[in-house]
Amino acid sequence: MPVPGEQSQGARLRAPALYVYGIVPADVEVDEHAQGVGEPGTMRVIRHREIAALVSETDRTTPRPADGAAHEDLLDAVAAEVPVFPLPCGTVVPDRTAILDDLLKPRHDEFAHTLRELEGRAEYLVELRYPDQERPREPDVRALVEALTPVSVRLSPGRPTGRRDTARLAVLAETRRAGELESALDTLAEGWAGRIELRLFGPLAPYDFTPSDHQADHKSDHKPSG
Amino acid sequence: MTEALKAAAKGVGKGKETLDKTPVAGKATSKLPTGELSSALKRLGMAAAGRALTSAIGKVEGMNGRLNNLTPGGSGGGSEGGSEGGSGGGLLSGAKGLLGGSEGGSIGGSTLAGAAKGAIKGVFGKIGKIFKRGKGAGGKSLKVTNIVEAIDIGAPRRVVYNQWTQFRDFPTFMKKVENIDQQSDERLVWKAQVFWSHRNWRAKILEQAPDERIIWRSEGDKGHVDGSVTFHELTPDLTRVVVILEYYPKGLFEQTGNLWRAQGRRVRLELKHFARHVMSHVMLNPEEIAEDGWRGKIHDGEVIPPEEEEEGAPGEEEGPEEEGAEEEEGGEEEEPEEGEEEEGPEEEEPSGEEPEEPEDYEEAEEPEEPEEPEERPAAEQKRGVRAEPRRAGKPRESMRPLRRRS
Repeated sequence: MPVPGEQSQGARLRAPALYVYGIVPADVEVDEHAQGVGEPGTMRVIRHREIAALVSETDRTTPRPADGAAHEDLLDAVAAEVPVFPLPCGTVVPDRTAILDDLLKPRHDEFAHTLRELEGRAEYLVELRYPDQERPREPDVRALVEALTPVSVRLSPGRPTGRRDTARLAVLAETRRAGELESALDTLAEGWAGRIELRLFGPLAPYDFTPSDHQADHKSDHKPSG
Repeated sequence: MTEALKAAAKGVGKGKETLDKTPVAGKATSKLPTGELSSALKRLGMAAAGRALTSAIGKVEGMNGRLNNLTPGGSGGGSEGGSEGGSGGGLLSGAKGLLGGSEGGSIGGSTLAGAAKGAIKGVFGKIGKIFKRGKGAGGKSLKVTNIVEAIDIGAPRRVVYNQWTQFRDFPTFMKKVENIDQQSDERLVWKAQVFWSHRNWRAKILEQAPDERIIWRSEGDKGHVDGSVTFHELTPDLTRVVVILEYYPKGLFEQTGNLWRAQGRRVRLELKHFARHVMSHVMLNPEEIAEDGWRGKIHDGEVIPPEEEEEGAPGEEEGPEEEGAEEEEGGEEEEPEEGEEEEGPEEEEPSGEEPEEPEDYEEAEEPEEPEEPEERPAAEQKRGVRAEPRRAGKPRESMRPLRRRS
């Protein structure tokens, strides 16, 4: 099978390519001021049936340090409004055709299904940080999980922080219940005052709840280009 | 255990099996002494594998990354790692149903992946199941393929080194490196395309001395790549980079026909991409990178706290691992990618031993981050929460990029 995305890998992009942020429902409109990683004013959606890819044009081949934050900020902002299946930072495809043929069409049903599941929901990230480099304690985590379970749709270990005094729990919750989530955390935080620093981030794009990898091997799908 | 939790546990199931039999809820295992979230969650049946797009995240959060494991076109083997929570089947994906078709064999996965595959291959891979190690080494005799490559780059050593530490950039200019996810300063997950398939491996940096060398060990289900890279100042603006890789293949595929032979060439080409990137892009604004690299030090696999490290960094002399560099010097043509003879300097020597398993990542402790170096751009701060957290949803700066059509 041809690999239309091939050129995005190299350092040379001939024509503006499309930077893809994520997959959203088709019935959305892009704000004219929306700004992500790509060129200003070029953000748009490419629709296919129920879903759409949120993209902007880019002709840069080298990421800037700010791209990661821009990518994430945009997706988090999107997640606050509509369901979104976030793609990893740095996803660039050559053109609309590639997006349709290689991303949207083949995976339409799965994306659509996932987006339906995410409807009205977003990720919230709860972080416990211990003073004096103490390690997170399991009873605390257990208490956290128990407190949040009633107000969440799903829980997952949160993205790693690289710090051993910190633990994160990712919560997929109904955005309309964010207040309850906060209340639950407030209660916990009171009990933990002075012992654990509790932080809540969100709403965020559901990175911690969307699939990450493909199985390592798809031998038949790649041309032997080693 | 509540529903959601069960659901979560179930969703994670996939990852779970990769987690060496994570005990399920409530059944604490004595082997997890730490109180880390991931451990606890695992005990709760949630599997530390619950994370998903970790690479994406990692990418974002750790823009200050550094590189470490070189191995350009390398190869590697299928394990990816998450340091803390691990990554692995995402809940959504695992959770049956959520991803409609995910049952088709890949769990954790693959929606995106599949979607991405082929089309978006440049994308950053994303990691999937981590902790899947183990099954590989399977006792067979291991072969080792050695690859030694060197390249001279017309840029100051500091610039070259710093760029090297920005390993997250690699996929942008290296053709077969699909993703590098930094779990922490010394842990990386690589994903690269090797022939028809993708390989993942995770590496741990054992030694890293600014401007001098980086030495790592790695592991992966389908083989892994150990190696080192050293930086040598030939003149103030000419730097030699020497890379030595030891590839330990596992599995029939790699060992058959010694396909790995071609990897020597692959590595050379990737090094050229690196050189080109440095010389024609980075050098446009060398000051930038001169500030951007990760200048931390790692010794015995532990990040040395900045205080201790501060001085004396450029002290030691070059590593011993540069010998043999000359052997493969010079004379390569411009990457004809396909046609050219593979002249990789790989020899193979059956080495009866298994590569030593780096420690158990899952439980190994995360060495302290060195004081969150300047540029770790606080994805957190950015992410809007307040300092006195426990509040959600700080209104984002009025950014409403999308709206539902009414």
